[in-house]
Amino acid sequence: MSQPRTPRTPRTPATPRQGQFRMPQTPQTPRTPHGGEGPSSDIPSSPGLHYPSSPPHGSSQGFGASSPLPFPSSPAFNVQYRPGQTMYNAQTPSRFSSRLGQSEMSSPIAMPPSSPQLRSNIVSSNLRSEGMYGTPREGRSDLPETPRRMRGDVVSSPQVARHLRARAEPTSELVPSTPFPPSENYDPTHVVKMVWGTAVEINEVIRLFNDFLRQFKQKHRIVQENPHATSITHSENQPFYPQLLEQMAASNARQLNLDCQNLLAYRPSNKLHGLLVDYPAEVLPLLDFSLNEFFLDLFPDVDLKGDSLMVRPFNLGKTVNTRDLGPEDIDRLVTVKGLMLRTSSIIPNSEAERGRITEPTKCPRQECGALNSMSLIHNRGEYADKQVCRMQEMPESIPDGQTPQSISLVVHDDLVDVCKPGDRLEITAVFRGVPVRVNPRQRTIKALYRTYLDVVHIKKSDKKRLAIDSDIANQDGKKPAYQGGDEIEVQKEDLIAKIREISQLPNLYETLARSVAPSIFEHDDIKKGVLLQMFGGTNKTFQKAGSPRYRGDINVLLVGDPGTSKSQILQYVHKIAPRGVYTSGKGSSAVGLTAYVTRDPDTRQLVLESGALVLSDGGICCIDEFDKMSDATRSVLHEVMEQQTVSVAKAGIITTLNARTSLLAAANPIHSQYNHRLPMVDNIDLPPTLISRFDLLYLVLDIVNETSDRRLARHILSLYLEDAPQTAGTQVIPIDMLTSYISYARNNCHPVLGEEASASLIQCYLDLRKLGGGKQITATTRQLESMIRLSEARAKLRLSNHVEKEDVEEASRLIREGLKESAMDPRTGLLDMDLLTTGQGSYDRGHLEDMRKELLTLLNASDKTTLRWTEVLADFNAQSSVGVSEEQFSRVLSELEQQQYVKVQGKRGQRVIKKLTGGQDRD
Amino acid sequence: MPSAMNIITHPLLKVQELFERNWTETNDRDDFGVTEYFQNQFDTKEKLSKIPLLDSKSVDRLPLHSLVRFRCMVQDTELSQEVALFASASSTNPDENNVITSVVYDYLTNVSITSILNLIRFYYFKLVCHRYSDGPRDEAALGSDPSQDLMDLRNSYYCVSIPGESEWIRKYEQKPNVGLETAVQDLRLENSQKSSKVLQERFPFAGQDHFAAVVKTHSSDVSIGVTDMVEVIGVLGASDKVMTGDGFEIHDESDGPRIPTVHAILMRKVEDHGHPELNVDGLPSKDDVEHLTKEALAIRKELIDYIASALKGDTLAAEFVLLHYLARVHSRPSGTVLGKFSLNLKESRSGTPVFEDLARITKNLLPKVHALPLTLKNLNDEFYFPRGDEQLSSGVLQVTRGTALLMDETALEEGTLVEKGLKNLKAISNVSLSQTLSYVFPFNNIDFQTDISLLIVSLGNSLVPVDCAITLKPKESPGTVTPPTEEQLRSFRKYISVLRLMEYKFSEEMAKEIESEFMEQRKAATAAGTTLMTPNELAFDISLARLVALSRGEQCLTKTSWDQAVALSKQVKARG
Repeated sequence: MSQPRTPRTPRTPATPRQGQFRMPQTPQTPRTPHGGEGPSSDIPSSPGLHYPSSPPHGSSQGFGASSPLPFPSSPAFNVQYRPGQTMYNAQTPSRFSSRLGQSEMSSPIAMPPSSPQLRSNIVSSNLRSEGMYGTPREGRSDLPETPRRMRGDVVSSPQVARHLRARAEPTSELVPSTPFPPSENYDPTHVVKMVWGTAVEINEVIRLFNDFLRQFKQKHRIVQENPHATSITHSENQPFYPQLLEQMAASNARQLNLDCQNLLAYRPSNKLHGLLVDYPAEVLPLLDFSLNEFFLDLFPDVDLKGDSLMVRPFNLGKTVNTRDLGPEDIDRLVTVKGLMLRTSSIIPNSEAERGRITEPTKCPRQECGALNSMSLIHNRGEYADKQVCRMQEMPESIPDGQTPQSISLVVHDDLVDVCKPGDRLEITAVFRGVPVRVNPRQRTIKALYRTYLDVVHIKKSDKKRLAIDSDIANQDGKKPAYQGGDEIEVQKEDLIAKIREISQLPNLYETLARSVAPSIFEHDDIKKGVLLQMFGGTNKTFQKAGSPRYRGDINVLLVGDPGTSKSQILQYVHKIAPRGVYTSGKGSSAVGLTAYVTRDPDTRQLVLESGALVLSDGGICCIDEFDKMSDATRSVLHEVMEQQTVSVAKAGIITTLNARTSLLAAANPIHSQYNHRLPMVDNIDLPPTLISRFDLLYLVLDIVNETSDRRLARHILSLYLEDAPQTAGTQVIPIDMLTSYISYARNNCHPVLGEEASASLIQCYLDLRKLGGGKQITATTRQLESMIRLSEARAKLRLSNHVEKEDVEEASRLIREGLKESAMDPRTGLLDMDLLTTGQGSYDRGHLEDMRKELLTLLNASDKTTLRWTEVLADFNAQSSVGVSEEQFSRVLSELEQQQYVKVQGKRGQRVIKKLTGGQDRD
Repeated sequence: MPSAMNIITHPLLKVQELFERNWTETNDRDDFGVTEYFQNQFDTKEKLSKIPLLDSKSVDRLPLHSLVRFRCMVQDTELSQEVALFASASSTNPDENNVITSVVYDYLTNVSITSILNLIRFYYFKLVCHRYSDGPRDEAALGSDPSQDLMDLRNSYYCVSIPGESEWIRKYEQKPNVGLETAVQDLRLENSQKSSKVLQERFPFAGQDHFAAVVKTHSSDVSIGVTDMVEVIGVLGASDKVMTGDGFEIHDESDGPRIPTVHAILMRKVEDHGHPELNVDGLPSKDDVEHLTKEALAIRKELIDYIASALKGDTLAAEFVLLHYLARVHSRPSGTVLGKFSLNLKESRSGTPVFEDLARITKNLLPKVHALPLTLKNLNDEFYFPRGDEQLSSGVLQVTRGTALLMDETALEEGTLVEKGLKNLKAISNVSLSQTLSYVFPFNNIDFQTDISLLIVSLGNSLVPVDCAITLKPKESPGTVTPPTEEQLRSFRKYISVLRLMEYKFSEEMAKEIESEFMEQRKAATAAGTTLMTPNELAFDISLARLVALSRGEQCLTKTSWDQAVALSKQVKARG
């Protein structure tokens, strides 16, 4: 890897390459424009090498695939333009001009892209030049045209390359220039050839893979996963890859995503799996080769346009953490999970010799022979895409107290720009090590290796499948199991087993509820409500109804005395909920909750930045101090809570963002201590319209009660006692397990209502409505919807896909409990939904009418036409047997005002009531 | 027996010796008895103290590849992972070497590397171990053929000198027989790590001189994490540029600062205060505990007077400050944090500020202290939380467990707090409330547990929510207090550091007692119509009782301590 590359001598003038080097007629005018070469003549910064011309006969000839040249591949000069590659056409090639075509040290990244094979690099490196397989055939029709595109991610080992070339072109003469003693009967088809230092036997690999491609059926996979599987459909019994290849041919795809589990499932190819993992650099080109052969066998008419098919292996069966990659993994194939941190811009990598070419210093034409006169024509060169990325390990897999580790990735060709920073990925790559140089100008290297990954396959973890050619991907075998739909991935089999085990607990519901914020004492119903909120109902869309989407998210409001650990519950939920966002009402503004528009400091472009609600899309947004939020801020919540969207219309951006979030809010009563004599609505400073949007409403009150006080004290003490006796007896599920459980349930269970459950729902709803005894409204359709959501959540909790009767009953119980506290009118002792929906109970309405009459008499009794507001209130209060609040008073007054009896003028303390005569007449 | 000095000056010889004796191809590559050997060699404090300490002064004096001791804080555990040479073959005659190599290749084209290696090793070569060193010194020995080399994975930790270490620690550490020559040398040597921006960013306290080194370890032990205080025994390696994780800028020729490397042989976590008179791991010995439980009451009294001298004679406040010194997070059962005790001293507007005096006294008593004025400029300009992209930049709050942070909120003036300032304030609040610090990474924040004693002096209520706030009431005529003798100070320091870590429990009877007391109080409050005692207040009293008991040298809560704690909590409330 570190040997000096043998300088390539320029080809003789008899073998001009197809115009890679522009050849000006005279050295003095080096930039004679060439017909049809376009922007090349405008390159200002080409290195000062100009070559005198030789007849440009090759320039119009096209591409290497049909080149009649005797030297099938001399990649040292193979820098040319390919119309098929569009990546750089739009860019000014001059950007890269100073970088290309110089010595290897100036390649855009310092890392030599070729594999520094720590293990098997015995063969002297000048063989590398043959690291290209698949050469143009000459006059042979029995073998299909082998494409000649080189793989970006792995550089085939020289032996393999040589062999493949020999196979593709058996007539060509092989010049063994190796340190190996060439065997006398060198016949590539008969000799058992091992790649030195490896267990790779070339012909066998090709044979095995060919066999695999022809024979593998999906049923192998099914049988492997479940030996007792009985139902195998007809399609599963068909050879799988020919179907896949057919689709590839139809869609012009060039990548075959090879699920390595399939290799394991098909017994004859098991060996291949091991070889592929251990020697990817040797095996991958062989797989490519046999894939191409197989493909062209099947579809002889398909024109690959010079490209070749590539095998992209994935799902090796074992994902390693970047932390665990060690020296023994170098040059092996690994699957690593991580979070993309940042990506570089695309680096054009010269196709020739992986970015390394030695520029000729002298004109090859004998007549000319001018020195340093050749210039590189960039846009006639062939470049492959390359990108350098940083990937951080998954936040979940970082050990305690450690900072996250990151690793470099080198991405080639089609995989470039597949992933964006922030994506969660599962990549399959070759682990590489390169020696660190003490000094870039010195050849001496330190006894130290930098490691990076040469990516061969990218799978986005948060999507079902990889991004490239997803249509194929969907066909590609079974879907890999357990793709987490949300942030938290539930992956391991044993974890799932554990989750299943928990779901079988006899008192599952209670245990789970207890496990929510175990440090908080009692409040069992609240914990149950919050627990169900975390599971959430099922989001539904009904095509028939035409309505967009029924929310499955459950909103919960906690109202209560200070110091009753409301905030702690919120904090806890925030900690374990998927995508939880925690804000405090006081510190939030409307834009902070929704979205705001700013100017990007760099580009001066308008950028939309998401606030808490949008950020918690698909999660739970916890808002503390809900009552202290400004009205303007709260008003945005109306849209969020029912429509589950946030609409933004400002500064040239009009859009609707999704905010499918559950809201968990906590509020304090108006007078800080809850007043039991007043209904809930009067106790909290929130508009009734907003309150009614909460599915569950809980009062968290501090009530003196001997037994509960004792248990409370014991609970706190038990935290300090060494061998906590109180918690030892009760089973609590640890927080991370609970998180996994919830995310598993959320992703895998989508319960539906059954017949029985629906009937029971109807019954519960009717019961709830009957509570009012006909006069008061005790339940609205909102409650019915809530009930449905809650029973769905309860079914999810049981990991069931069917809502049972007991779920409905529990949901109905929770709602009734909540209503009992919040919608109970303390003055009548009856449930009254109107209290919540309008802020006025039926009791109020009757009461109001009485007050109106009384007030009118009071006003009429006075002979003044204008009365002071405060004075009237005082008088009125003195008369009345029940205390009249200011609010009630103004409500009555405004009613009178509407009926044109009086007119209220002035503001605040200066308010005066003016009697109007018109109204009086009518009375 | 090889003299200890020999191991100290030439540890690598010993490593090679152990390597040749114990290492075989087949056995576990992780260790060949090195850790064990060095552990045995330096099993007492006495023997350990023979190893020279590595710091900014001694770094230039200490010879390369000698054994050093380095007390430091792990600032970042993830400098990039390296694959390094573990052992390579070397021969005395390089020419012969080449011949043999080619011969071997010719005949063994199809054998595994291991068997070749064995062959080579057996007949012609001697394997040289490069672990714990910077690699082979002469270039010829390397690179002829990498396939023979054995590789090793090692982790690099970026370590800095312990932030906020008090001056008196140095005196404890210093050997009495330091030669005059080295002393003079130390005086002459300037800190070679010039205040480069890169290094400064990785130390919590901006603008303070510190010493940084990269510690490379071969163990896969992950128990050592960020902000752990560790004592490293290792081989001093060459100074090198800090390698950031980005492998693509190796050839970046910027003049990055060079910092020394320590190849760790032993790496020990030091708990809590790391008081030099305690055990190596920072825990107190049994004798210390026994001794101090007896003396506790006497020392307590003197200590309160001493602290009160900084608080204008306010002994109640002084008692709380003392209890605050003794507090540490002792357990985190299911999401709650127990034992934290952040304190807010509310100063009256009149009179001279107490902060300076308090900071001086705290620095005299505690081993790790940092005092900082909480000015608007500080909040808006500096980072209080660590954040990382390629490298982890530090923040004020990235300090070791057991560090005392004194904040002077009286310095805060009116003005705009920018976003950064808000985040900083939020970070302080999180430390005060839950003792966690969020490290900001590009796409995710990671919470790390901390244990920082937060003491805030403010006018009125502090911006930061605290566990306990007390209004200062200066005594009318504070009597003159004679400053404590060095002897007294020593006992104070030990008292605090030992009692902090003392075991503590309370009996079932005490629990019952507290329980019924709580219930009665609530009943009484309902009857009287006054505000109820909340569970939080009960929890506060219980944790206060723990501190009171500790300060009195009790390992088990007594009724006296409980009553005292309740009385204290009432007095604080009474002051408002």
